[in-house]
Amino acid sequence: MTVGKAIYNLLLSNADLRAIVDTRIFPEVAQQDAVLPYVVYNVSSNEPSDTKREPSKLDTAQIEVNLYSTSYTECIDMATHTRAALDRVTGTYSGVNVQSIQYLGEIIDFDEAQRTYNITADYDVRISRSDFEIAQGSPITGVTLGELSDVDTTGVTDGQVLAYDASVQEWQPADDAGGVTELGQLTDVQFGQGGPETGELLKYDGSEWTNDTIVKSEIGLGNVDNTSDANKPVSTATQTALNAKANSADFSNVDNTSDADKPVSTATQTALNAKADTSAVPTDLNDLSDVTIVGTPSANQALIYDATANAFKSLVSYTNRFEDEVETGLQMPSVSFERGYSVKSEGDGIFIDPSPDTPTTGKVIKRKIYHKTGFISDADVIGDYTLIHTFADDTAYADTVAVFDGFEDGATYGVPPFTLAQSWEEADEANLLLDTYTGAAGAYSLRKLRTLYTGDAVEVYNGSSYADIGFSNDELDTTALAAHCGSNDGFIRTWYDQGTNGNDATQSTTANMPKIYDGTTGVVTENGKPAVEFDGSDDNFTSTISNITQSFDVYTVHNFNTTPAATERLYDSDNGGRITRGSNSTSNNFAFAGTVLSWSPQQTGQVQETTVYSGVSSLVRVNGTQTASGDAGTNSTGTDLVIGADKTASSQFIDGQIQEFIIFDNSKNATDRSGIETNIATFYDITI
Amino acid sequence: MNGYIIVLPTPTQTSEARAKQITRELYNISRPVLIQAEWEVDSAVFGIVVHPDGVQNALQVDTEYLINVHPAATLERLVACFPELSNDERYSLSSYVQVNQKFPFGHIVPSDTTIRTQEYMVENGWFPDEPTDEI
Repeated sequence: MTVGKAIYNLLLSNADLRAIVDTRIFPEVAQQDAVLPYVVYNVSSNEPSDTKREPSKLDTAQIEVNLYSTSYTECIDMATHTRAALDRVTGTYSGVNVQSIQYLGEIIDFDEAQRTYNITADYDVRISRSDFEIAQGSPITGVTLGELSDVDTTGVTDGQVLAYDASVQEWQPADDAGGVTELGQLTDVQFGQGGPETGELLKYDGSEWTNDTIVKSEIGLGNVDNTSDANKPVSTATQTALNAKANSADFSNVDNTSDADKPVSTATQTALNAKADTSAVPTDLNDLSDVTIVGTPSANQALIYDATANAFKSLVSYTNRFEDEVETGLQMPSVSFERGYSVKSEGDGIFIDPSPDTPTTGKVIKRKIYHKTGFISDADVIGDYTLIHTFADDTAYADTVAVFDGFEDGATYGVPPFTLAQSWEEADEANLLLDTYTGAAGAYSLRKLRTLYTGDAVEVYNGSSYADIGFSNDELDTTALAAHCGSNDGFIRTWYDQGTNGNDATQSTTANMPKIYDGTTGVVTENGKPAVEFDGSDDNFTSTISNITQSFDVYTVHNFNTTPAATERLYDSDNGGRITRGSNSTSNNFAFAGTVLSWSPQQTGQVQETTVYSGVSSLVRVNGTQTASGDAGTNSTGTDLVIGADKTASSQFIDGQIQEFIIFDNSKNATDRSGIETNIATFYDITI
Repeated sequence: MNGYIIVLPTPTQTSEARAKQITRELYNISRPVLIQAEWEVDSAVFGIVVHPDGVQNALQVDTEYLINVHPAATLERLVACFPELSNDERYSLSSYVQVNQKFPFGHIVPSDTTIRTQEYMVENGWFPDEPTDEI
């Protein structure tokens, strides 16, 4: 009836059932005060399966599980959990080997007396009484080794052990195989006749261990002498001989050989052989193999290592030690040096390679001396240096030497380290118009007029953007102009003043900007030179030239395209009274500064014109020839001057070109005037 | 063709203000404000002529003058300069400018606008005679 233990174990182990009935699981009958719900199980039968040879190894029990609850649903849940806990379960529980459990059926009833629902479920339980199957987590009790399926303990006797028989795959009783119990029984041990004796050792003879005695030499103790020196025995003969010897103390100061015959030990002789011969030790620098001194050194000579000769040589002076460093250090970008001197505590370096004294045509030679604190380096750039001296243009190299030496010898700019460098360059000769003839209040041209002018010629609008156009070889950079304009027309917003006053002529209204470039035909030209084209409708500039008082000169290169039907003005300014130059159909050409000064015939085509405003001595020269003179009045210019239109910049626009427009606020003498006209005429290829 | 467009005042703008705005907005088509330099703040395409009466203003125009259209140009302000235009005309004007990289100014002049000649302007007192002592 052990089946009851297994059933109790299984039901109690089901967590779902425990959640409902807790531990109220009773065998056979519930305790009288048991609280609902609860479980009662009982074993209704247990039939063995006996065999002839041995007792039953398989019992079949029928159990009945009664479930009680006041809730119909809960009662059914209990039945479900009970079946889950029992049906088709295999394993050993509480020591009972359950081979299988089979659910047979169940019925539900209502106990009127208790007012409870009752489900009665029946199960067949097969209990194995021989083999065991071990359920996970279940303790095993009451099992013997022989009951295991792969163990056969039949006929086992005392002292036997289990041995595995692979042929039947079982563990079976077997005698202990045992082993040798004495040393002499081992196969590689061979005792001599009569066996070992006391004090003998095992000794290996190369193939087996045998019993034997041993001597001290066999174990490396052959030289052992375990007596003290004093206790060592002396033979009688030895003692007799010793007694016949003299006492050595009596011969301590014996010196019975000459110095030359005195013995020298081998070690001493070897050491002596290794000593240098003092007669060969050098006493002068020149005795050294890697030093070469020629003659008697003079003052300030130094030993300088010559890598080629692999020797130190005495040189006349220690100066110019860093010649190479100076030469390479002077190789700075964009600057050419002909002389350099750099010094530091370790020595100095000198580089001298004079450049030509004769400039190329149209150029001048400029020589300058620069200084920097510190020794020269390959990384030096001109920005590291300070300009300390500028020679006059075309100064010959020979005339610069003393000045450079003065800085060098005087260490003018501090103690070493410092560097001096003399540059050489060719610059454009200052031979442009305004280099020679100064005093321009406003100078507008499409060629460069002054060497030191670094600005551009014009600012050009291409319809969508602006760009400054400068010079190339002192003439308008037409390549840059074409690049900026492309297929668009180009118009001038600013005609830059190349003088020193910044009186630029400007036009901020794009439709009124004079034209410099045509998108189809290219740069606007007149007689082969770029020209500014005024359309006669609205084009004009306003210059900030202001209040220029007489006497002053105006030089222009211009042309009127046609004989004007109405007034057209080359320029106009108002300071309460006008100064203007124009042309009309009735008065022909006129200059006016309060009084009309006119001349004829009408001018069309390119001309170089000079107008001198000097009261009653005013005059006009066209292509180098005076064409009008007299009183033009004494007015001065206003706060600005309009070029190409009337003073209001709203009418009387010139239909023509202007290539150059220069106002000198100091009237030139006849010689300079002629020089200016010649310069202009030469450039524009105008015959005067 | 060169000539003059007399700019009439509107209920909200004087002739001068409107003339300045038109020529300024024409400039902004080629050079939008966002790319302009400081010196371009007063730049314009056409000059303005002021009548001696101080009230009337005229644009000094060149109908052949090419106006480039910048990709970033906005046309609202230019179109707003012509309140007398119908919506269709405004749309046509805006569309024309937007689809052309450059155009002659004459192509966007409203059909009812009269371009005056120099002679007309002189006869109507825009350019008074100069003093007799001057040329």
